[in-house]
Amino acid sequence: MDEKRIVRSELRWVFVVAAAVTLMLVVIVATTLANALHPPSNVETIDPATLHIAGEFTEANLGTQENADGTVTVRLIATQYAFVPRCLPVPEGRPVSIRVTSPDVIHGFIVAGTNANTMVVPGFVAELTTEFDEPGDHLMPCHEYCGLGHSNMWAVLRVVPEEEWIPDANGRMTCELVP
Amino acid sequence: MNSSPNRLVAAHIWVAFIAFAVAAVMGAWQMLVRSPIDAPLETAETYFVSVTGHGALMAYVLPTLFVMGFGYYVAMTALKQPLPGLRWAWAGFYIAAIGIVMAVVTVLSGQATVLYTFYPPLTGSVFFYLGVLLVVVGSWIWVAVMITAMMKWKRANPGAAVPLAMFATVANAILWLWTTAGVGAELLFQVLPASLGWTDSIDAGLARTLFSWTLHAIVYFWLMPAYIAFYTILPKVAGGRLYSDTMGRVSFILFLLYSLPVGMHHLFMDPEHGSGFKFLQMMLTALVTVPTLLTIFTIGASLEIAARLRGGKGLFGWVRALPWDRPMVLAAGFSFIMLGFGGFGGLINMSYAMNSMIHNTSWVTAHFHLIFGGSVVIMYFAIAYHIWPKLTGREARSLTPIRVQLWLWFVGIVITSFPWHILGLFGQPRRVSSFDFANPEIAYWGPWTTVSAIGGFIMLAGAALFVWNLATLYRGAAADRTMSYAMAVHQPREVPRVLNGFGLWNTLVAVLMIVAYAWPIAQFFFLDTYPAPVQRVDVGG
Amino acid sequence: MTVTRQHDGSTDEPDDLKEADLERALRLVPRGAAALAGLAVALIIVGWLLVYLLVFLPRGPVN
Ligand code: HEM
Ligand SMILES: [Cu+2]
Ligand SMILES: [Cu+2]
Repeated sequence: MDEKRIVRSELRWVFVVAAAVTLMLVVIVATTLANALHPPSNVETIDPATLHIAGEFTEANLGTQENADGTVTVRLIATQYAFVPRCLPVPEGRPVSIRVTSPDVIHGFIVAGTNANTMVVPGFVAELTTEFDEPGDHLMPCHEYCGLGHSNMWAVLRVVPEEEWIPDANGRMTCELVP
Repeated sequence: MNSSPNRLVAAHIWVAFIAFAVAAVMGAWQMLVRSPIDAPLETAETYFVSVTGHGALMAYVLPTLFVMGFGYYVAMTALKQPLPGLRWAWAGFYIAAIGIVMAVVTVLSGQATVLYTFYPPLTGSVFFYLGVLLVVVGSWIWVAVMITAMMKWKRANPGAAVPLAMFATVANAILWLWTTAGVGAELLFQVLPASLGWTDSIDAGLARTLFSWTLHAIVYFWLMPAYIAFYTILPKVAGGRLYSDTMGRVSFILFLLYSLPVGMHHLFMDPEHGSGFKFLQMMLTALVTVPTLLTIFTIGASLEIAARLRGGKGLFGWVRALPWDRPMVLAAGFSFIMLGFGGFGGLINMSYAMNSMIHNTSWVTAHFHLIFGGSVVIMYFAIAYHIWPKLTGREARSLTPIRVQLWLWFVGIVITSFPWHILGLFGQPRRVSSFDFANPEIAYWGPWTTVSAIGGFIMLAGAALFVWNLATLYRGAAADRTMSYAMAVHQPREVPRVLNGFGLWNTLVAVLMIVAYAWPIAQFFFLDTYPAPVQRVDVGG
Repeated sequence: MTVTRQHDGSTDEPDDLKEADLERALRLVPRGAAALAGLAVALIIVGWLLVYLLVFLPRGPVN
């Protein structure tokens, strides 16, 4: 058997491999374009030393806010060793933007069993937009080691059916307002 | 070969596997802590000290020392020349050994509970980072010795093809030099100044970016000995020939090129990078599957040659004709099975937005135990079993304990990692010491966690039996000490220059790294970034 | 077809395979390897597709 035949067989295999990889990439690119699917990637900086004093992430601004257009923004802080606030209500089946940052070290944000996932890096605001379709409480553990108390850093995301979604006059919603 | 170079190889491999054995005990204990079963000494502090130790020993010490020892062995046996710079090699070994002791003592004393990825602004004792850095410095000496050995051989054999085993080893050495640049810069410019108290804040986004430079390529550094065994040892042990030497060279070059400009696939979920570079590096990551897929074909064909020579029949039936009783063949079979499942998981990880589904969950822990702890480490075992008779001059008294050990490891990995994948899909976070299984939201995680803990203890048994085998089994008949590598169907005497050296490829790596990383790193100097206050874990913490 | 074994004695031990046997084996190789590797890759890609379409996408959009 001459070497050319070996090389030819390898090239045929390369073709199969290229086809397989291309198929995957086509699916990824098509769904990325069709559904605007992206990993959370808004490069937005913030000073971790002062974020609690002024601006978007002061205590009064944290929590769930219904916007004029019906979408919902949730602002929270991941800090050693708690999320503030500890319970986040969101409406079922509506786009929800989550904005989260850290005043101290790196943390992680995930809503178990959903696609809501981001790193929380001090110096940056992480933002992700998604929808939650399953009513009820979902666990929201910190998923990056942030110090010895890390394992106790959990919060709850409460997906509220539309009929129970009754924000106050300013559009603010809290878990206490859920009937 | 006189005995000192043999001692050099054995010393590296012993240190690697002692670290491995210690870390395996830690791993099994961690499994218990995470499960609903009570573990002794269970506190958050002991858990994270243990995970830091386990991660650093398994990810830094085991592979680095193994790659070094095996590299020295290949340089001597494939090139058939004395090792140049034997003294330097020993110096590298002692530097690394000092670093290991320094890092381990610091971690065990609770002064550096920052995990092996040491994401700042968490900052531990400087001795942990210095220890890691010393291991890297020792490995740089190894890089220099590998390159020198190849150049010396080329001068003595002008125009001749560098033997594939050595070509691949040097590819890995060069890859490693590039790889360590990222974490090296992070340590030198960010982490060490902080841990020495010279700076009180640190750019966490930049640190993660520099670490990501290292984080994927290091995986291929770990993997390379397994691939070297696939191409240059396995075909011979199975009784066949390597199907194509050229494809081997091409694959190793592709690994050098594509394992570096893809590290940002570890940062898909990070807020400090835009989607453009994430997408670009996802595309580049897709290319790094190519050399592995080439390898499974070339090695498959090499094994098929062996099987057909042994009377193997049929489109699939030939597989049964392989000599599965030989440890190298058995290990490679297990390795390929685990590579299949691990590769499947890896494709899911790299799929851009889909990374949201599993990032930092137990899925990831499952993935790298399967592919690194499984496919790669089982080949470390096989290589050690293969060269031990040549180092000690004695055959194993029996192959049965070796086969049992390989089975234990394979079964243990599967039982550990399959439930872990499922738990990851449920959303179980990694790096968490204890779960409140009384909480109805996650009560159903309990049984899955318990099953994976059982797998962890099967692995532990496999680890213990491995060390026992290496220490006690090689007291049989006198062994032939010559190491010979597989011949290719067309054993090349000469190959084109581009397939015989790395000049061109180094230039290409530089270009690819500029494309992939220049802006992601430079942006931190253009954006209005705010560094985060350093947080020490070693003083009063 | 002839097997040209160019052996450079300085780098390898010749193995004791007979050229005629090798030649016969190579008449079938790499058909089995292609079948096996092809099947493995196909299963992996199908598995990936199933996860992408049936697990990931139903969990909702992200960006
Ligand atoms: C007896 C065998 C082993 C057991 C029982 C085991 C178990 C574990 C456990 C329970 C964790 C912590 C998971 C977490 O907290 O998220 C872990 C982490 C890890 N293991 Fe293993 N493991 C074993 C072998 C290995 C091997 C062979 C390797 C690689 C060669 C390895 C590499 C790692 C790494 C890199 C981490 C990550 C540490 C981190 O998250 O900082 N392990 N292992
Ligand atoms: Cu945390
Ligand atoms: Cu990677």
